[in-house]
Amino acid sequence: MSKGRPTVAAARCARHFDRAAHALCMSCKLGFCAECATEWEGINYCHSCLAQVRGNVRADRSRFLPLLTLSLTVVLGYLLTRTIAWGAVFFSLF
Amino acid sequence: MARRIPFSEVIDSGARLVKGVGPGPLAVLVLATLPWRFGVAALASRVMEVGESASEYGPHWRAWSYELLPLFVLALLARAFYAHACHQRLQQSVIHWRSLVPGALTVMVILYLSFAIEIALIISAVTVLGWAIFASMQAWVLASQPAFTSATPVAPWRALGQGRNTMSHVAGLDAIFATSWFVALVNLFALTQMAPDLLGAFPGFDPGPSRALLSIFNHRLWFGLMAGASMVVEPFRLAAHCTLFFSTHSKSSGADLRMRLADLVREEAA
Repeated sequence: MSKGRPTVAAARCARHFDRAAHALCMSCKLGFCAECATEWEGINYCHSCLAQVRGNVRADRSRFLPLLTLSLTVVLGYLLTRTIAWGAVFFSLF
Repeated sequence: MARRIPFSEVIDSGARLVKGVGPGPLAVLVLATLPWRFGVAALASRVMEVGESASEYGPHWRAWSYELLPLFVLALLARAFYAHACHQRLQQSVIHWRSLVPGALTVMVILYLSFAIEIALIISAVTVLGWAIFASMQAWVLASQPAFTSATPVAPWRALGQGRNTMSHVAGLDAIFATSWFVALVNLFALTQMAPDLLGAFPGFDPGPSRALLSIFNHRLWFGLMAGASMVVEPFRLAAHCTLFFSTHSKSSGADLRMRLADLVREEAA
């Protein structure tokens, strides 16, 4: 086996030292048992790395659509301030 | 057909989740939502004071709205942070503070959906039903954040719409939390009415001036109590929504099998 390559053989779970490693997290390169490792899109991750991978919404290949969402967010933020001011006047009638 | 989880089970799990998440994220949620809740209460009491002549004070209300927007964003970020902590806890993993901070694109998607829903909420607030629907959707956005995988303008709405089969469940859950909000309001009101008499037992404390402030006819007191009741209920409501989302989506994501496997490993180790 090549030197420096991460291996799961004879490794222990990074969280449960009494358990043998079942898989290697492809993000942090640590060994994890079956409970701690999760396969996501064919790649093994530990829970915290998976949370990071899944927690971050991916930017689409096209930069245009996320930029459009950002522009819409700014416009909606402005409209929200106008709606709050309008709501204050409108609800004063009740 | 998938078995529907009883409300009692969701609420019990949500309450356990609040305890499991711990005091740190809870403190962040309470401290960051406090300015928004009481800011809205202050605006509402100001509107009550001005009354029918409110239309003459356009710049005044615009100034209020520019002050409230950053507070709303802060409250949203804190709720997203707390919901993320709930999801991490539900996945039976240790909560790492660094990983709780949502990514920039996640924040953008949450703000984009929440701004649109909040506008709809204010416009439809006069019809109580519309207000209730959009208030439920607002909490569901935060609970559904693991489903947001793309930052395009349509994809987040599609991800939110995937839960349409559970929307009746979400509405039922919020009906229970509306009742608990009312109970919290009554309890807070009773507390404020008893407080001057209780504090009057201390030598040197004069309860006289506080009686006018705590009068049943003081609308500022009522708006403040409403904000307080919302803050009491919010962590439990958010945790219950996260529990509901996790339980309905755990089959499609395979999380139910992972948790079963974890239980088997634990049983074997024991």
